[in-house]
Amino acid sequence: MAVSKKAAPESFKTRCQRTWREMVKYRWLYFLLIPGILFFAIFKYVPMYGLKIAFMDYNQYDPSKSLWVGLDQFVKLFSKRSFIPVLRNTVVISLLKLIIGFPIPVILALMMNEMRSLKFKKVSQTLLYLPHFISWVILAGIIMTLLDPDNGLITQVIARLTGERVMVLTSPKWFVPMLIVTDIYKGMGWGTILYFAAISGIDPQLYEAASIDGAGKWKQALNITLPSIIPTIVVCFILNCGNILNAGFDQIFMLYSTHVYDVADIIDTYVYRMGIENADYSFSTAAGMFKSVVAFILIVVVNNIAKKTGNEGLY
Amino acid sequence: MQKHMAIKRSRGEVAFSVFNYIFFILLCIIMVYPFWHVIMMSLSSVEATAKGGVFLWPKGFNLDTYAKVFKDPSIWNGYLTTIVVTISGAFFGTLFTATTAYPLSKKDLPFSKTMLLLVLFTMLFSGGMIPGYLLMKNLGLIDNRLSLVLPGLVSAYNVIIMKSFFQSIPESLEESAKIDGATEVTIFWKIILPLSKATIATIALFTAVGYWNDYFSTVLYINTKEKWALQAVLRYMLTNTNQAMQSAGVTVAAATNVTAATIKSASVVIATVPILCVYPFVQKYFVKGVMIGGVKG
Amino acid sequence: MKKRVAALLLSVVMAAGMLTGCGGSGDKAQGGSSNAGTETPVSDEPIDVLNQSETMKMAVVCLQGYTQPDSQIQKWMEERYNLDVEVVALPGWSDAVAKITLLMTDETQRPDIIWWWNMEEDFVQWVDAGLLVNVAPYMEKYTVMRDYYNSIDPGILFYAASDDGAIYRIPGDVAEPACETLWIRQDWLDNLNLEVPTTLDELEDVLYAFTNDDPDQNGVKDTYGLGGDGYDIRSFWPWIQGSGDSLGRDGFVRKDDGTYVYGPTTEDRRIWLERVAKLYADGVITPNIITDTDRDEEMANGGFGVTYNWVVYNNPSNGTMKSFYSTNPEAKWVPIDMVAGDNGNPQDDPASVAAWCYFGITNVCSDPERAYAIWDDMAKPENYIHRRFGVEGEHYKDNGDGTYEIIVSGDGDENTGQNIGIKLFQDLFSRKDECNIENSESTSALFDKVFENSRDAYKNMVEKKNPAAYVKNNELGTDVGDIAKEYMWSVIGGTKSVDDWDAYVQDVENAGLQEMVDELTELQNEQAKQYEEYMSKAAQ
Repeated sequence: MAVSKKAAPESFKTRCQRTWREMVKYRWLYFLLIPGILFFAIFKYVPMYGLKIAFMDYNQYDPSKSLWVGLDQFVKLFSKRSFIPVLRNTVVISLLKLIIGFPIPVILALMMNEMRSLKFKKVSQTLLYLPHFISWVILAGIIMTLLDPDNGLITQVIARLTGERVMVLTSPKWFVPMLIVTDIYKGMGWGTILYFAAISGIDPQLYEAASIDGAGKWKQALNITLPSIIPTIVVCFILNCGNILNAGFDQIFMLYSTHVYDVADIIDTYVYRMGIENADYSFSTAAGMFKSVVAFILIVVVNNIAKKTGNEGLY
Repeated sequence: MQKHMAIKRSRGEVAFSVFNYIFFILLCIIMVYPFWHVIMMSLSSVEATAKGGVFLWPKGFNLDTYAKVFKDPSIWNGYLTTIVVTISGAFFGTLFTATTAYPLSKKDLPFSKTMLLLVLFTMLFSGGMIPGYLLMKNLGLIDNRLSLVLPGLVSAYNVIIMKSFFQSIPESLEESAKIDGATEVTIFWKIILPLSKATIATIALFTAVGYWNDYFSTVLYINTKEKWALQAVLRYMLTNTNQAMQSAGVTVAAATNVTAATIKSASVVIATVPILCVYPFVQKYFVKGVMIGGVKG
Repeated sequence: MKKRVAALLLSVVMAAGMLTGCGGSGDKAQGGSSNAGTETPVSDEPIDVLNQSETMKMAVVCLQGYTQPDSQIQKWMEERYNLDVEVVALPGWSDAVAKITLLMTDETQRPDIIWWWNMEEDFVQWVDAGLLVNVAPYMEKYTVMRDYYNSIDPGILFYAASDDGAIYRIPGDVAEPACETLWIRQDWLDNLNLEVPTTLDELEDVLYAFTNDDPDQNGVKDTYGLGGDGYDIRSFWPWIQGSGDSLGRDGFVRKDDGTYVYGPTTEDRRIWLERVAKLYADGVITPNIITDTDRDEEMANGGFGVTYNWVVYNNPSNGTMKSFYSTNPEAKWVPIDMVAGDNGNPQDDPASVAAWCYFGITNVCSDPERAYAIWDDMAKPENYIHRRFGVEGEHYKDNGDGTYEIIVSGDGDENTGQNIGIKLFQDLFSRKDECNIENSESTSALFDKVFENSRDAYKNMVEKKNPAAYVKNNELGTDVGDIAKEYMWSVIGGTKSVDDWDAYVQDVENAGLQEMVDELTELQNEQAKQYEEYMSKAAQ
């Protein structure tokens, strides 16, 4: 793409020839791409015809009975009484997760990098990452045990401290903070490892030069480590922005109940409940597509902002 | 490292260091405690789990739950399937992620940006359950363990992460090899991959965990119970506890030492422990990478 | 450049669509070839299933019960009927629907016998696509299952049948007409010198006593009055039935004058909700009754003295109660009569007459009539007992006086260890009559009692023959149900109050309640007519 930009005054034909020459030059890179291209074509793009279902009233048992209904499924989604509150919950929960949860792994990675004891570093890294191995089904079970209104450990600790029995899982006030905390809990080790890998790729000579110049650890972290991992941070941030309508189906589905529908019912859980009653495959595909389109737009916008501010961006 | 210690440290640095250690010790305790709790639950007697009060140590220690759960042949079959799927998936997945990400990290490669967008597109849009199933059916992979491996091999997310890592490798390292007449394949294999050990370890870990925790592929593509992945078996146990009590062979008359709660706890342990054993081996690559930085810094 | 990327994306998607167009046409051919659901092939003579020379393949889908392949009982089936049986186990409750959908979508994987529950919309589509075989003609020839169901309640087959009389789904499991009763800890009553409560007010007094007066005499305040299945309205049944004419139930209710009301917005509901909320706030109900808990687990754990729960807990072989008694040997749960509320007509909770799950023979089955005949033969009492309880003398004992003793339970070690297969295909036809030898004499009597005791409440119950036809109800039902459930549980939990009752009712009405009532009234009246016709025909 960069090639075509530079070559703007050239004629179409010379541009083509130029591209072709480049392609021949890089033929080995294309060779490397073969398995990837095959994979994405077969396993990702072939099934994508399924997206058409969003514009149909689809009958998977007898596709000949399916009808094209245009945007009806989307209209149905947007005209649902619960659509606005559900959309609001989705955005609120995922924005909170992003704002509070995003910087934590960066900070942890930087702090961990300052640790001198290799053994300790290793152990704490392993433990930090521990919750990520566990699926939400299992983690939700643990959370429910700890928050059990009768004999849960956390309930008892809170009762000791405040003299009040707080039922976090059924309290509209405490449920969302609980979601944020447990999400950070589960995800921070994952992010930390990512940044840690980026840090481990930093050229050691940079630190050498800095310490010769008399820069302390603090300055080194701020002036070398952090700037070196900014590309990774930006990439992760853009990808996270694309997730703004994914507030975490598994997590909420496992933990929520009618008590907290007001604050915790998100698009995915709502569509799931609709699906249970109506088995409407087209409707849920339409809802999914709505989310994807919003994500797509957000990613493009954030990516452009990142590029305008001099960062690398996704593409 | 040793040399470093000799360098004088400012007071602030020492204070920070102390704080840092204390902070991480606390954090680790918080991270470990829930699992400790679950392990202790799984080792406790029925009475203790029912009445609560298991905090630090098991109450009324017993191993009956494990004895019962492991009697269920589907657990062993599940382990076998999951281990095979995870190892092969993580190996080929990481390899193909790297071979996809490396060319895409070259900006002058014609169409690289278009291809990257196409990859990104798959992160956001997918055809859904039924088209995915029909594809597997047309490939003849229904009820075949390959169907658990193939669809999750490469993810757009991992490609993008890896691509941005590759971009941070200085061009100069490749230039010299190019002058020597090496092809990109050789450069990739001999220079780029060895330099990216930490990255590869990360992606391999991410992919492996993805495979390890995957149960829905089993729901979609596998019919025969002997081929179920471990997570599907455990999920079946968790959601059908009474059913699980049965398939774990709990005699009603002797149900004294096993309940749904202890079975749940035991299945958490069963799902988690193996991957914990593997993790330290992967981890040495991160620490090594940093050590090079640390020694010279 | 952006445009080019977009165009490329589009073209790739379209190309993919064309590529897989062939997959779609394949499905069409499949649908067309077998669109003959109503023209069921029927042989002239009844098939003698015991003497068939050709081995028939039969893949059967099931969820509950025994799922390990090649069990002794499976082999018994295979030898007896010359079959090659394949057990297709569904992956647990939460994912079973997805699996059933896929199995039915794919004609290469479609089983010969499919089992499902709910999935009403899907069922209609299966019938339209000709995926299921109409077994009504077979029922005329092979009558064991039909006669059994009709002896329980003729309504069972009425609800299973289509409007034209065809039967594409065979009831798999029909609950006893009432299957729950009020339970109380007799030992706690004795410890506190209390009488068995007979009215709702007395029951509440007992609950307070069980909570505050240390009924287990251990010196610690660690007991609750009421406990039960969490997140399940039936746990509060004594109050629901006591508040009036049990109109305060979930969902729609038929009033005595033939009109329909929505239970959660009736005055009855407000009354019992207020009472229960007070009990909960006073701490006499287990706190986690408002969270999702497992009924058996709660029961096995204990810690409370009153519960509205399964009748089958009365059986000495019941696993849940066995594990409860093993940790509480001094305890004694006894079933008691339902307490009387304001209207003085105590009622137990009636169950639906329509089956909760169904099975059907699909169009891939090589000989549907033979398959039906086999299943009908297996429904005969002696064969049913063999499939459900194993071999006499080995797995259960016939005492000769009409009572039985279970030696190897379906939940037993030996069952899996020796691969016996007790409870194989548990929910593909099960008998609740005397063939259910697990029921002790007193349990059977208890079932009879709660049946008699629930008939008035049953009169108000709304049953739907074809739930998929209630378009408005299905469309608006999620929203309306969400509001009602959220309000109910929040009031019980104390985060909302009955003072907001009017605003809540308004909310429900704004969500389209009237439209639902109108549709329901119309369809229910129609159904009532059909029911009468059906019954008069059956009587002839």
